[in-house]
Amino acid sequence: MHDAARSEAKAIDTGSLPGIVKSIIKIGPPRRTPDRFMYVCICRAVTLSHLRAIVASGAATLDDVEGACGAGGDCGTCRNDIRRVLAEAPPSREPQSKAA
Amino acid sequence: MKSGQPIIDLLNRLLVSELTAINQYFLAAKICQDKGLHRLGHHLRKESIGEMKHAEALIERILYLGGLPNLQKLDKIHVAENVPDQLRADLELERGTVRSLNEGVKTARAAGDAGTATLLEELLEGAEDHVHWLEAQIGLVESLGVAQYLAEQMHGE
Repeated sequence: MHDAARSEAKAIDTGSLPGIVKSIIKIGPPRRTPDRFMYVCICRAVTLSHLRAIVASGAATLDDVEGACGAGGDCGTCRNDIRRVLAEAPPSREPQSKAA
Repeated sequence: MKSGQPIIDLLNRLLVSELTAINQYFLAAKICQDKGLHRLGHHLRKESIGEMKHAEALIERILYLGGLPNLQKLDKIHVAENVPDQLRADLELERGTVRSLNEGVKTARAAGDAGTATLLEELLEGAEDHVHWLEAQIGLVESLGVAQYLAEQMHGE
């Protein structure tokens, strides 16, 4: 499915598109978010469902997530996965770390 | 023997996949054993050790070609909370390895490095067997149901 999406992206004529759209197409479709029952952060044993609960309860930035459960604060390998989960959430929230 | 840097870089990239697989399968094996799924855990442990032998072959080839094996680089390890998701994560990793090995064989042949190409073909055979096994397990989970599949994985080796 991922490969199919990628070839679809390649087939688009990007000539007349605005720069931001071109850059998105160049990057390609977003990598699949982790499956529901996966560990997102191995260092701190944080699962995807736990991370989603933290984001739903108001965490809006990487710092918020790290403050809440430690995820992303050790080796950093999972930060892109955390960013994807944050991007799925409603964008209207204020960062908790700013207020603290 | 000294060889071109592109082949050494290629072998080091493949080494990253093997090192990642060693850790992913070993952790999954130990989680299975901890949960009493001894048969599945034993198989996953064997797969992990198989990947270690693949890594060893790549390391020896890189040294033979005059390069330095990079053992400190790993991709993200995908560990699931349940067996079906773990099998799917392992299948994704192993299919990626098959793709990389196929590309590696082509690159090595194009560079006139038949020794590297032959080694990668041997590794490819093991990776394809592993993909086949994982696909069969996922098929069994679907046809038997998770509970029945797990019941079959509790005893024996």
